[in-house]
Order: sequence, then structure tokens, then C-alpha cells
Amino acid sequence: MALSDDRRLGPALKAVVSEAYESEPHTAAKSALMNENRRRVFEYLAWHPCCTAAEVARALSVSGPTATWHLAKLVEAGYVIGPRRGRDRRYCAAGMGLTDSETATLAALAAPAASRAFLEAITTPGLTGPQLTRKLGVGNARRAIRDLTAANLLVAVEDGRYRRYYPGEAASSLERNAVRRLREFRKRLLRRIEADRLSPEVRAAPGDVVEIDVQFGGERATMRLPATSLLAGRLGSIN
Amino acid sequence: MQKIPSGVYGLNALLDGGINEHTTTVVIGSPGAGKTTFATQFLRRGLEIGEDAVFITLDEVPAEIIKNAKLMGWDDAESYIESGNMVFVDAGGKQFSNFIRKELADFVREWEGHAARIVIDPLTPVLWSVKEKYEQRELVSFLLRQTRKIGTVLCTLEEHGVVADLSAPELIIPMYLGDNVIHLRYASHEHPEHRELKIIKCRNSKHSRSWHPYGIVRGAGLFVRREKQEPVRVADRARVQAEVRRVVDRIAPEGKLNARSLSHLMRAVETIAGESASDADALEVLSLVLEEYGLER
Repeated sequence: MALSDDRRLGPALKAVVSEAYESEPHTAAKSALMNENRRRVFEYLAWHPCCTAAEVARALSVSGPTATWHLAKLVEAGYVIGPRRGRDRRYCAAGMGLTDSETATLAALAAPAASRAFLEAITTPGLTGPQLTRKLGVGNARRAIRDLTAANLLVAVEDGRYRRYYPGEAASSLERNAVRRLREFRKRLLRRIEADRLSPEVRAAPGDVVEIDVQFGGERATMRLPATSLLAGRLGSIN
Repeated sequence: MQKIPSGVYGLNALLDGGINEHTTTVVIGSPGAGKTTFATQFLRRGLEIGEDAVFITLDEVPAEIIKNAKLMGWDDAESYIESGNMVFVDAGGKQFSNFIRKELADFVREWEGHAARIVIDPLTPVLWSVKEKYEQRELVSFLLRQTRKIGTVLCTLEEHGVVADLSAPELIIPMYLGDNVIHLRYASHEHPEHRELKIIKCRNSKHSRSWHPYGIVRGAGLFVRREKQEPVRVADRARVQAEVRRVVDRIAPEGKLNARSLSHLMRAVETIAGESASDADALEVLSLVLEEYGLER
């Protein structure tokens, strides 16, 4: 069944066929995911969609060029996509099916101050500008509020003397179909891993997490992926 | 079963009214027989009546197909691509067979009930992507059974070696599995203008069982005649043009056709009238074009 009327069969078919990767048996022994650091990069992207190479490097304590190298390998193997947005390049795990506006929303949340400000607004809806500034520091707050409002992650409501901030529509619309989308994402990922002959096995894990075991040679590794939320990594502390 | 117009002038009558919706048609022919022209006309006709079109090309680049479509009189082919109604999918045989095995079932589940026109031109590389005959059959059978759920499908098949030998294995499998099979016989090495078409099968239809001569008119496309006849030179060009003018004057105000169909038809009719030096009997071809749109001379 079609999800909405504005989608067309032709463009959808084209997208799926062009994603139909080649899977030659003799290339099986060389999967991009056999490298541990690269797996960590992939996991990080699954929890924090649309981040920059610099953020990956910072979060995983590796050098910038190392992060960029692993990202390039993952993009080449089709596990990750890395579209350019203006000056910077944002990376996402392939198959999440994010639209342009969703990418913009996730990109706005990527700045540390912005995700903290958003977290504050969710925990205590209706904080005023000065209250947010006290929590985040003068320099950070102004920019975070501006970016979050632009991405519709915060809405400002005039309340007499104050302007109060509430969570906007962008985050909830992103989360609305998250479970279904993450299921589709995992399905695609599993097929991709199978094509690499890493015999993936899926297990539900405690919390909103799914674990995928992969095997290569005698080794075995586990990847932890989000199961219910696209923002889980960004808003980790309230989940 | 719902019949849809084929877009190939003169063919609907031979097919008992048109192609059955949600079926698969296999068009077989040697190089130069007109398979791609046939397929293009099939898609164009669907677009005119509001259906979506998908052209899966496994050999030619889309630009080449569009160039040829324009030669056959489809001037505004690109406008359908811009609007998203027509999509070219440019795939390798192996890549496409990966898609069939891994993604097609999910895709069809999501889009089941849609009625697009889908062309796979040619199907041959898909067959060659697997070695075993049994696997070839599985793959093609799965492809045809699935794709017809989301539209009406037309696949072309290359005929190699001796013309009119349909016993080659890469022809037999799709011929068995397709709902309809049309053979374009073109003996380029014998007589350059000797072209014949036969409907080998057409499930659930009282179709013609004989050979029919067909021609390709530059600027207008492929047309099929009912009977064999001596090539007739159009002696009286003025008579043809007068006839065309009479027909056009009659059709335009009737409002039976939408603007796109009308301009397509006029262009075809005018081209045929101008082709008086060819051996096409212009008046008969004119009738065939009108017939495609349910009109009479």
C-alpha cells in the first residue's frame, strides 16, 4: 500500500534498483565492518544521525583523518551515506530514509549546546530565555536558541515580559514513525551484512536497543543499534 | 479483464481490443526489428492517459533511447521525465537480478495495486546473469509474476542467430512464462523492408493467429497492417493530404481526446501524409492511427 499519494512508483523503483549492491562471493572475506573502529563509527552514526567527521572523531577519541578514512570506507561499501549540506558534510547510516528537512533537524541538534538546550526544554517546558542562558552560558544559549527555533525544534511563546520556550513540532514528527523506519533500516542493514557473509544474528536487548551479532573468521562482534528513536543518541540522558 | 491500448497502430484489433491490464508481454525480435520503438510507443500511450511509465534499460543509455523516441515523433518525451511520470532505470544485468532476488518482493508488497506501464528492455541480460537453466527460469518467473501486480509489463528479448528460430533457450523460458508473446520477424539480410509480426500467444484473448506485415515510419512509429499486400506507392499525394485535413478538421472540435493525445495523433497523421515516397499505403496507415484512438476515418 502506498504511504501517501505524492509518492510515485517510478522514482521509488529507481531508488531501490540503484541501491541493489553487487554481492560477489569472492569479495565476501573483506567486509568494511570487520574493522573494530569502523564498526564503532557505524554504531555512532546509527545513534547520532547526520553528524560531521569532526564530531565522530571527538566522540570516539580518534584523529580527524582516521574518522574521515573510516567514513569514506563505509560510504564506499554502502553502509553510510555522506551528503554535503552547504559547507559541511553530514554522515548518516544508509537506509534511514531521511528527508532533507529531517536531515536539517538532526543537523541542528548535533551541536552540543543545542542538544543540551533542547534537552532542558523537554525536561522543563516553558523555560525563559534568561533561564536557558543561566543553564548553558551566555555565548552558547543565544546561538543554540536561534538554531533550534529555526529548525522548529523549539517554539517561542510570548508571555508578558518573558519569551518562553517549548519543544517544537520537528522532533515529534521525526519520532512519529521512528520504530517502523528503524525496522526498515535494520532490514536493509541485515541484507547488506548478509551480502558480506558475516552471518548476522539479531537480538532484542534491554532498553530500546537491538543487538546484531556478526561473525568473521573465528571472531564475533556485537553492534548495538537504536530500536525506537532517531534521537536516542542525542537525548541519551533522558531516556 | 481490462484492455488497455497498446500504442502500436493497428495492433489492438489483432489483440482482441488491446493488451490485458496486469499482464506480461514478451516482444521478441532481431536487431533492428523495432523492439525498443514498440516499447516506447507502449509507454507513451500510457502516459497520455495518465498512467506512470518506467523504462528499465539494461543495454542502452537513457539519452540514446530518448533520442530515438524523438526520431519516432515523440517530441516532448523529456517533459514526462521532468514531471516524474516517466522514469528511466539504468541497470546492469547482474545488478538488476540482485534487485529481483533481494528487493522486488518487498517493493511489490508496498506498491501492489498500482497500474504503471513497465518496460524491461532487453530482458536477455537478466537471463544471462545466472548460469543454470533452472535458476534462469525461477528468476524470470518470479520477476514476471511479481511485476505484473504493480502494472502492465513489457519485456523485449533479443533474437540471435537464424531468424525466426524460436527454439533458442533464452527465448523459450520467457515465452512460456509471459502472458503474451509477440514476434517481430525482420529478415534484415534478406529483404530490408520485409517485416512481419505474429501474436504467438495472448492469454484470455481471441487474438489473430496469422502473420501481419508491419512497418516503421520515421516521425510516427510502428504500425501493423491487417493483411499482406503488394507495396503500394502513394501516387496521389494531394489526395492523402486532403484526407488528412478532412480528418483533422473533424476530430479537433469533437473533444474526445485530451490535448496530448490529439497533438500526438496529428503529428503521426501529418508525418504519414508527408511520407508519400515510402511504400506505406498512407491512407491505410491513417486508419490504423485513428483506430488506436478509437476513431474512424
